Amino acid sequence: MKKTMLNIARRTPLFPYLRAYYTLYLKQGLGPSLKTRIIGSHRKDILERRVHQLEKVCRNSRIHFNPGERFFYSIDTRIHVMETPGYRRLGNLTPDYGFLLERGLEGIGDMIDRAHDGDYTGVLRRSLRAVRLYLDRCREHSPEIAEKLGRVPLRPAETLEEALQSILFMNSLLWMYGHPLIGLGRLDSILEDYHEDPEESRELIRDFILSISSYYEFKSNVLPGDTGQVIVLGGDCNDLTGIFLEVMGELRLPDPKVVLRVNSKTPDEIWELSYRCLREGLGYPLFSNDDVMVDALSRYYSRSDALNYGTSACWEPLIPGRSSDQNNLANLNLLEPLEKALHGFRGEFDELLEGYRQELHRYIDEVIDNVESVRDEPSPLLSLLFPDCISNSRDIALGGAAYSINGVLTVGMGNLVNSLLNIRRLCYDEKIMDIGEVEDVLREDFRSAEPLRVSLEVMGPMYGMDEDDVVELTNTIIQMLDEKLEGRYKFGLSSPGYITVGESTGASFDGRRSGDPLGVHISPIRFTEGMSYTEVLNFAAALDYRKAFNGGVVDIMVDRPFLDRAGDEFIELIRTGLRRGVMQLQVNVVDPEILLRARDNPELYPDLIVRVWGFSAYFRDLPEEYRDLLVRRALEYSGHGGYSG
Amino acid sequence: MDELLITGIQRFSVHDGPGIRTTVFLKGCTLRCPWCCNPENIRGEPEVYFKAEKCIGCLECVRRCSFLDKPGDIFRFPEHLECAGSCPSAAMGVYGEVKGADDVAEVILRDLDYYISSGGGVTFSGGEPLLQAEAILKVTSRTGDVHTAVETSLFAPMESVGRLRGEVDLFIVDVKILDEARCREVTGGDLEVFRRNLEGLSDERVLIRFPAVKPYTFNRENIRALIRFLKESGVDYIEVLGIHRLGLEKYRSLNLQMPEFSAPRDDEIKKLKWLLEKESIRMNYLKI
Ligand code: SF4
Ligand code: SF4
Repeated sequence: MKKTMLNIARRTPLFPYLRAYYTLYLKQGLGPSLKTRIIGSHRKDILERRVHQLEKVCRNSRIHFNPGERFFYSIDTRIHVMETPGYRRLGNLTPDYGFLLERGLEGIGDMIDRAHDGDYTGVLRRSLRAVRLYLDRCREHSPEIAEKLGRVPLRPAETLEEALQSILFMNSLLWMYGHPLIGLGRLDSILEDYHEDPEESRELIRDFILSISSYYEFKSNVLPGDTGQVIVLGGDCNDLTGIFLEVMGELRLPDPKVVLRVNSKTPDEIWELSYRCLREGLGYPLFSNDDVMVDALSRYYSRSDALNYGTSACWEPLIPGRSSDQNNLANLNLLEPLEKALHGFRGEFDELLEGYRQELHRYIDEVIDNVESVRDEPSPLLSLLFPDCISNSRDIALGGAAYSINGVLTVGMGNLVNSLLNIRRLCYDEKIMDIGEVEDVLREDFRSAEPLRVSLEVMGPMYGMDEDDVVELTNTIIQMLDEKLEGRYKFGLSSPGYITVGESTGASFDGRRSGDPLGVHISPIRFTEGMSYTEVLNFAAALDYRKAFNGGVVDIMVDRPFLDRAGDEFIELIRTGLRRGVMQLQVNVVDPEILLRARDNPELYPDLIVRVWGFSAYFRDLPEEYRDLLVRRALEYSGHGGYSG
Repeated sequence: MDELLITGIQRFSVHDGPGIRTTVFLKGCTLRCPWCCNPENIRGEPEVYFKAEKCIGCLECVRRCSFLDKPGDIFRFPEHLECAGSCPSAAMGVYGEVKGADDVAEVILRDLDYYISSGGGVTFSGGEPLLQAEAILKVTSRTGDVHTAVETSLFAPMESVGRLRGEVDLFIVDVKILDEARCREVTGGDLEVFRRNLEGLSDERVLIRFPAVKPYTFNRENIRALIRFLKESGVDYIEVLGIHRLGLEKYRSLNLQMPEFSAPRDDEIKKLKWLLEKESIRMNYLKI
């Protein structure tokens, strides 16, 4: 009955709209306001359709301006551009804002005219016309807006204020056109030439950040705060690097977030400003190690592009304005092949590893097939901000960008490594258990083996310790991944899926019960008594990032009182860890007591910010399982550094 | 003497001397300070512990050891180290592990880069590390140039001080109770031993620390004695440790009562600071 209804519904011309409402309903947890305007199009040709949708957005979106604000930044949050079935909307990338500032829309138009005349040139021309139409509408809306949009984004920016306004204008359109998780790029280097007076720049950047942080809920993807608005700073630092960090430390907002590219030349002052942000509990900057990253990226990108890397919404590297890379196409759950490999297995440890390798490769094929059955949805608007798309006269989704090297994530590496270490220790070295029993114990979710489960969690060398054994085994798994993925997909060692993927993953031999969270990125599964930060960093520094560079974040928690005592030593810890070869690092500074109290009464701590995978968010907004995991981890880490003597 | 009896190695220690350090906790002490944060480091041999809050009630220990009716009984059979070690959750276990100097040195050297960048190194603490002076030297002969500190009460044989003189970069000396009778009564230590040992360190780099504990060390007479002592010894900088009741869990795990004491209030610390400054002695307060 239900099916027939659905079939009838499917035949009505309204069906796509109904479905769009329905997806919105699921996504937002409550019905989209009836005022939500779904932008569809009946054009058959996909490019036609997409231009048509853009035209509708530009024609119809409502314009707001709050008098008194320095920048004009208007997003009509009630607009929803319908997804094309069978396609994946591009997001999680960064356009070339520098290109926009240098040329202005007029200059971009000239470039389109000069590019060889393909079919796509017409599409670009029409898109540009649509954007200009929206610009005219804004200007006509009020004289204040007209004044703010005096020369930009039509002409090249000449002042910092113009540059920021220009970025905001195009950024707002990208959001309305439905691209999620749009990054901001290397703003300190893009804006460097427009910076003159430090005081003035500070004020401008402050107001810019306030604008970009608005529409917080609308921009959030899976969880509140997950907006993908990443500002990449550093690499070569300049005055603006410090100004951005300073302003963001003062504003104390969870969004936008900062990825700081560090290397041996990063000045002390920048480290100190970063420390101040961290101490505020903002969870950023996330440190990304240029020396490791650039080297790894050079395997896939030209050296000069690698040097200019930015990141997608969390931290996975890409080249802003040059790559359409979709870095987070799938989560490889590394425990899944182990379950298969253990099934009915009797044999030596080496054979188990080999069995794992085969299962892993089979599993990767499956996941990749799945991923490849969906195509990227064209976007003439994004293409306007990717110079290669213009000169190639080709849409970003159809190979217009210089690179489209997609990536996958892995989750559960720590659980896998600990499982293997435990199996080796108990079944082969100490011979306390038969390998056949492992499967049974896991299948019944440790129900009659609680002591074993507990001991698996705390005994023996573990993922995150700087023991040769542990490092070697982890690198072996990385090697297995690379054998299969090399040249086709980037892969990394961190993923936002530790809770969601964990929910559907059976018990594992690291002592994890069925459904419990998986390990958080490159961090010990449990920061047990006696573990230390240097140990974790040394472990992480020894991993093979030349292969696994699509995100590799060490995520540590630090108890704020301890941080205050450690002070300079803490900066040295981070610096040295990175110098030794840690690729990426993020630090969640929390006061465990406050966190405990906030878990029970989140409303008492409305401003409490925490770091969740690649973004910072208000603690009160998080679902319970995220809060619980944060509290558990915070308590584990807070044991560290107790005085004895 | 190639082995040490230790209770743990703590890396990234930040208040046992300058920079980022690794602290090695040696087991065994000559004193019995009531405020001791490390009661597990006092006795000079391995001993069993039981942490009730970590116990999952699986009775693995009872199955293993026929003397036990329940986990808490382990305190009646302190010699059953192996039985204690059978606990899967480490709720029951043994404080104290004999480790080769090689192994200890290897762990210390893992953090060499951090010592170099922060001006840190290794600190031997305890307990009373001087009781294992020989073994310490075995370790430092392997760690070479790594900055070495020893955290001591100096209530230890003179020979030990003699052995380490010239071999250690920094002696961190705890000054506790400076009245002979009170010192003996409260800690069981002979102040004369402390004095002689301190004289023996006249050519060494020494950092004086004062654990501030009410009522034992933080009282009017003792503070007066402390200032007199500092002036006489020409000390112009000390570290004051506010000792809180952090050791509580450890006392429980050893079936011991933690004696009553408390840390001074902030205003009392301020007053101490003022008194010291009047004598041109700087102080740094470490709240732990
Ligand atoms: S074995 Fe450990 S966890 Fe089990 S009852 Fe004994 S002390 Fe408790
Ligand atoms: S000297 Fe130190 S280790 Fe020994 S009892 Fe006193 S406080 Fe404890």
